[in-house]
Amino acid sequence: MSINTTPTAPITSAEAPLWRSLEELLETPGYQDMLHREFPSQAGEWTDPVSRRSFLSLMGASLALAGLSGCRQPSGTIVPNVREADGSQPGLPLYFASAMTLSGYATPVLVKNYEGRPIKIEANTTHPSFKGENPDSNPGVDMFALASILGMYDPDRQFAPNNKGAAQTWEDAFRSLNTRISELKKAGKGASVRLLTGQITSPTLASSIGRFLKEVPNARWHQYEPLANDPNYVGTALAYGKPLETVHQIHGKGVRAEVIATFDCDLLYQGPAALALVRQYSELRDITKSEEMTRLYAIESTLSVTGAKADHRLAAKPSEIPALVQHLAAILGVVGGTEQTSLSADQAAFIKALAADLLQSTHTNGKKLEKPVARKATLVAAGIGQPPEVHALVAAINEKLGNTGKTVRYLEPLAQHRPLATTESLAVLAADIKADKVDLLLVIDTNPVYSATGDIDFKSVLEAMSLKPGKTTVAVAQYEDETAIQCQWRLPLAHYLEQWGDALTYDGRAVIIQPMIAPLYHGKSAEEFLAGLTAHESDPMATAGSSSEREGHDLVKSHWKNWYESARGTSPDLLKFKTFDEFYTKSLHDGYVHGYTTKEQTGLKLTDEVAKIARAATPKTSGSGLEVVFTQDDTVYDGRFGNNGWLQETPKPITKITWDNAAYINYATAKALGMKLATENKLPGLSDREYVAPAKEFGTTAGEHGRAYVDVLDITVDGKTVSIPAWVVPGVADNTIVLQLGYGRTRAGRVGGHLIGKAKAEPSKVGNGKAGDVVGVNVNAIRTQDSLFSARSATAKVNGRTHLLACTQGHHSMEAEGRAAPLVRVATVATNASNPHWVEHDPSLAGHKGDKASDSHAKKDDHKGHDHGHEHKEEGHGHGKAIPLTLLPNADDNNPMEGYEYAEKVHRWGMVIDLNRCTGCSACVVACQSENNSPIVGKHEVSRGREMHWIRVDRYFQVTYHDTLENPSKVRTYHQPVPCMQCENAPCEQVCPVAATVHSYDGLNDMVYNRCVGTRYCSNNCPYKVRRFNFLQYTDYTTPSLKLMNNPEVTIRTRGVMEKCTYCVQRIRHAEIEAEKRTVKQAGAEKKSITRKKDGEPGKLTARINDGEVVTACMGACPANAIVFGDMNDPKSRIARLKAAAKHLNYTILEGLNTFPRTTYLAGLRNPNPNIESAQG
Amino acid sequence: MATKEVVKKEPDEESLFTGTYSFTTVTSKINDIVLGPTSKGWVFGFLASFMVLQALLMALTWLLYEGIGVWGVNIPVGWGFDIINFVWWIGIGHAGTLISAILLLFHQKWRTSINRFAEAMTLFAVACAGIYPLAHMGRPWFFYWLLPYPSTMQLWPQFRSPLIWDVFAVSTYLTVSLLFWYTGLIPDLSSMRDRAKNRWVRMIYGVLSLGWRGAATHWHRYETIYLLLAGLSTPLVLSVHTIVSFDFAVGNVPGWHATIFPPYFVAGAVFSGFAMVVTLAVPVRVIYGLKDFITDKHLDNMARVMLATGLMVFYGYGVEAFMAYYSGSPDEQGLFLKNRAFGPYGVFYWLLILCNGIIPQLLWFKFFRTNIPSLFAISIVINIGMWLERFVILMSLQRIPWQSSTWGQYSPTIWDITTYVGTFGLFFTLLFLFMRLVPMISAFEMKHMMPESHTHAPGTHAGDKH
Repeated sequence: MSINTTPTAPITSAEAPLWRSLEELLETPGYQDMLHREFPSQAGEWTDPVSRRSFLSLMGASLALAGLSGCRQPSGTIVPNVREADGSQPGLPLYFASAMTLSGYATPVLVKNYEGRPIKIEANTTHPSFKGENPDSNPGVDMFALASILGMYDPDRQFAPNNKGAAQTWEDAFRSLNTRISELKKAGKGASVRLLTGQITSPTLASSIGRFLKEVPNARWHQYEPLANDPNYVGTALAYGKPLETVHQIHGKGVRAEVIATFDCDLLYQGPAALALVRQYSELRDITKSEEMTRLYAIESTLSVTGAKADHRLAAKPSEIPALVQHLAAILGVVGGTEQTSLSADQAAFIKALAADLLQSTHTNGKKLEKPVARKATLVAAGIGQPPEVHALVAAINEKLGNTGKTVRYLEPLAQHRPLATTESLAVLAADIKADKVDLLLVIDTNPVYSATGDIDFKSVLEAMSLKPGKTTVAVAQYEDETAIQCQWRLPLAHYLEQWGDALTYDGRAVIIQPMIAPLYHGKSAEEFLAGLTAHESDPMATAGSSSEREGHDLVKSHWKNWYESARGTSPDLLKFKTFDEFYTKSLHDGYVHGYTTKEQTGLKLTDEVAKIARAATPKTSGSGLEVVFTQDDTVYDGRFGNNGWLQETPKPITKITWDNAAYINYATAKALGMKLATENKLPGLSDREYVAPAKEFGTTAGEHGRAYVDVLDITVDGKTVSIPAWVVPGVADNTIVLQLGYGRTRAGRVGGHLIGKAKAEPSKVGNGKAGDVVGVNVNAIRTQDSLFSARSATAKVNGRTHLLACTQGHHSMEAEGRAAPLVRVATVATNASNPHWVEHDPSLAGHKGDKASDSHAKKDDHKGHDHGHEHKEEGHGHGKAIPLTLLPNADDNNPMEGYEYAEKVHRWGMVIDLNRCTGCSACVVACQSENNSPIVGKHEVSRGREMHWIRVDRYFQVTYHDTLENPSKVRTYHQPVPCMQCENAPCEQVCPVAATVHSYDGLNDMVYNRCVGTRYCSNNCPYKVRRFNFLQYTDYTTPSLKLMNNPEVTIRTRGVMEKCTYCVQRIRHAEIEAEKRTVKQAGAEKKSITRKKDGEPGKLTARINDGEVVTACMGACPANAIVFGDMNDPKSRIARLKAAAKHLNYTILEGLNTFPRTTYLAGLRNPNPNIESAQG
Repeated sequence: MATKEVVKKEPDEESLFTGTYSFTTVTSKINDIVLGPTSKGWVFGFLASFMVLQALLMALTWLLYEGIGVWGVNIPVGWGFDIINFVWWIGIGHAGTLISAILLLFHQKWRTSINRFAEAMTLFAVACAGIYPLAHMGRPWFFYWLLPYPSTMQLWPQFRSPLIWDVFAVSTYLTVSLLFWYTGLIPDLSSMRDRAKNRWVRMIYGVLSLGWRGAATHWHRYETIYLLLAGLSTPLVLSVHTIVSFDFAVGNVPGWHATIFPPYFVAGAVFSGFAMVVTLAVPVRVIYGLKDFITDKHLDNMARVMLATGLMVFYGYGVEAFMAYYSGSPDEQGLFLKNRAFGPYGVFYWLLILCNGIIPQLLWFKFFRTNIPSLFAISIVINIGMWLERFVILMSLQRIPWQSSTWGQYSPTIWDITTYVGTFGLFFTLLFLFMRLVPMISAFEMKHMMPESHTHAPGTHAGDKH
């Protein structure tokens, strides 16, 4: 592979044939015929090689010119990855490995580039920390990385350096700042120079900072990260005497966690390892190996994604969780664990059963073992919201269970030179500023004015400093955000897609960040900024950027060169490289630095302190008072993604709210607070066991789907109050209010709220429907340093106002009475073992009264006297196997395509969605949006039921009949992604008056945008409601930067047309062309002539596409590998193998309608502890 | 009445024609409304309607400029006021053809004085209805893609779609109704030509009357073609609303997918059509002093038709409910029945039962059929009821598709309402123009009804002479 591939002009005809259709490329006789028919006079010219070539080179030149406007090549060397190409070919994407950082930690990604424009983030399938051992498994990407594309092209980013609003150049900035630093140094006031950054793992940036701190003696480095893993560092320091990075590994490297218990820890959604853990977890939940399935216990105050997946969930107030850990420790015999008497009987029983289960296994597949078997590996994990003492105790529990070194590994802290607690570090800085000890403050890529806790009040501190003469404040940030606007100098920071850099993954591997495009907004990386301040100490007037030492690439490269040279002797991985260049190229190509790992800490000894600490950690319960939990927001993180419309509009996995945060409380708490809830809103057709509506009243437009007016609560903690809309979430612990961080940004941008001085935004694009409105509520005000993640003795009262929430799904459960077959089918492992055909005879509906083994599902139906299952089966209604009610070509399971002409001849694309693996993380939603140029529509339009996502993730709650509302621990949550079902017998096609939706030659249900006239009949007739309509002109046709972002392979839809999931047809066609080219090339090499079945007809391909050549965007993003797409006609394909292996668990939704969907589902299995399940009944 | 002494009439015709009239006075009574001076009341009425029409134009302009999103439609409720009002207006348009064609074929003489009026109403109602299928498209400028024209892309409409059937059904209905109406107008237009004093008016009516001289051959051909058109129109009365109902019945939304829809829709259409004729006829006959031509007997007859069709519609509701129950299908039972009757739009359902089921039962009593204010009130109630019927059919069912995760609701926006109100502007503007420009009652057919026309017919009072 060529290294030096700084792409130049697009290559023209000689190397890369340009063609307009497959037929032209292959010069089929049919095409020649057409040419002669269409252009008889010029036909000769087209086939004449000389003139054709000259024609094509002209065309190439015009393409090159046309591409110039969108073509911004980064300087320096970037190395293409994976689907390699020697240089760029117009029209063909290149993939580069890079990494996105979040709170400093790296998520490895592949970036898809079209002619110098990054347009899509994909999973890096080679990174060893994420890829896993199963060759079929895909590492996936999270929604933050997927949406970072939009973040880069965001037109609201800071455009150029300025000083209090007056435009400046980078040279001015450097000159001025260097002069100031020299003055301070000369005056011996180096200590008054302060640097404030977020959490950093980047080795290069750390060394840049190190150089800066050396240049400016006594200067201090503060760090502030709103969602830092402080308690874990402090906790491990308590347990082992030094702070450690805790790395969980539940599958792989010979480890299988048989039981996982999380204490207030959203293991599968939050934190830098979540992506890897979801993939590992999904391996442990392989539906085809139900006997080996892991068991997950979640003890938590919120209802988290992990809790939704858990087999057993215990909802507990935040103050009770340490006691529960203590109790567990005591039962397990951990030194320092003390039995808790304050626990309720339920809680004690739960912990007791958990402890027993952590030690030994008593059942397989629901059958009691003769002799219990000791567990090989388990895992207990605590979340960042828990105090350090709990982390220390959890470390001791894992030690006791023998998990250390297996499922729990400890590394040196990955955060660079980090103070143990970042909030403390910020508080120290604030105090120093107030004490007039700071003359120069450099804030790099962190936003404490927004995110600092209320008691620090960083805003007034910084404001006062900036106004004081002789003080200099500098913010290097992507946006002129809350912090930047309080600083004098506001300097644009480059996005990770625009800069060189590096970072560490959760387990301490390094990834080099490569730029995909030259900075759109004159941004510089943090390394470049610091280099500009340090490299010319002797010559403060020198202009920046002229010296190569300040180029990000050189900084990164020289760092790794130094490391390579020092590590070469010690690391065996490096021996295979002859030169640094080879090593460097390979590392860039693969997306991780070969040979770089952070050493595991072994031989750690628990300190004697643990026992003491553990005892001291015995919690003070707060009685019956209200408690508040602060958590990471599911979609905007800590608020940094506030201006990212994709993330704002992605429904939050559990609540399905978009564009807002809310106070999540459970039904009982809401009732106790006197909220008007309820049964007056009870929807018809819902029986008592369904969850009642959360809203005070439904709005008149989109009802439960889209629009809910809810009560606003005044929540007071320590005398400070926020007013925030309340949302009832079943499963939240009693007397607990869950608040999500990240909302209420006042300077996020046009999307996330208020950006003064910018053009007025489209109302439909903005959160609250009006340009500039603040989106959501900032809850940082009521946080303090002592109550970072939870606060006790809060009070709340209904303040009388209502607020409109745009929520894409109401609260009713999955089996609204009257629906023939359940959409989500779930049974226990035991039921599955005793009755493998349960999906066809769903016990939950069929009323199998004798089937006691099935979960409480069946039970509750008994209460309702639901026995219509039987009679309907006979009548062909739904459950089990439907008796076809159609005159159309009929189908059976094996070949629903019988009778269709194309059945056997071509690929039959299909999709299987494994509900057992899906966590509902919604990465697929963002991946689809990015791949298919789906617009965002804004809160107002979402509230009218007009969101444009092609794949949605439905969330259903299930509650057992008796404790419908009373027991939050018993709420079960299921997720079900719903893309287009690609029906063989598609109801949409039959009703379109203009044939705008039709079957393609290979059986896909295609949507022809430019034929659509927009009658919306197809959507009315779609039983799955997966079609989306452009009610207004949602796509932004005018903002230049957003135009660059679009995927050129997918049509931009205009107002008035219908659209829907296409199975990423552009990727299928791309693969088809590649396969065809491959065949032609091979035939040419073998000097064979290609015989085609029926020449000239589309779809009669001679080449087969291999399995894995087409990966839909959702599948590529799914870290749980829950979505499998492929050719069902190919028995060796993954989808065919999966369908064969899980034949009895494979079902279609709304089977009775005889639409014969190609998208099918694998039923979910729960793996409850038989000892608990039987105790609970 | 005093007039009874002057002209003795056949008992059954007695109440269909009152007053003292000769052939000339009938003609002048009817035609002078057109040829006479413009009344202030007309000017006021016309201007008021015309202003409301401007609201329609404004709403449609905004719709075209901004997109269909200005309406309240969403996913899952893809059709809102647009289709409700389309179906409602089309339904209203049914009375005209029924009165003109079917009653003609059945020799129901009482149709005569109301047929032209009803036909005009049909045309205008269809015109109002026709706006909706065009406007409700996402890209209405491509409406012609629904027509089978020879496109260079060799693309045809998709003939399996009920919307295509709609295109044919409605356009055929409009065409035939227009021809029927115009053919019936020709003799009257010629008498307008003959009576007009103003040269330009004479020329205009002269052109419009297509050279009608009243010759026997003309009358012969006229009768033939009129009968033929009546024969052509008769199936259309049934087909249009049958096909409109297919929009729903062919869809798979639970509750729409029902075989009861075609007859039930046709009955409902006739029901609402007659109600609208009554609603319009009552004031018109007062304002223009036409009580002698549109008599209480006419209104009574129309009330009877309303009662009959109302019972059919009511039966339809009953069958729907029964079938939903009897199907045993949980979808039908749980969501169709319960949601419809007790869901968020439940109040509309019960209002509908009240308006279309209960209140029309009053028409069993002669008092309510002949008491004009109460009949007028009932006719308005029925119009409202039929609108509610369409609302309930569309809204309570579309909002609850198969997966509860996709349930939604609908409420109209200001532009939905403006468009609906605006179509009244169009309707009444056209109606006022009609009343001002052409004879609103078929003068020559009224003359047929007069005793003088029947001197030789057996069984008439003229028989006395024999």
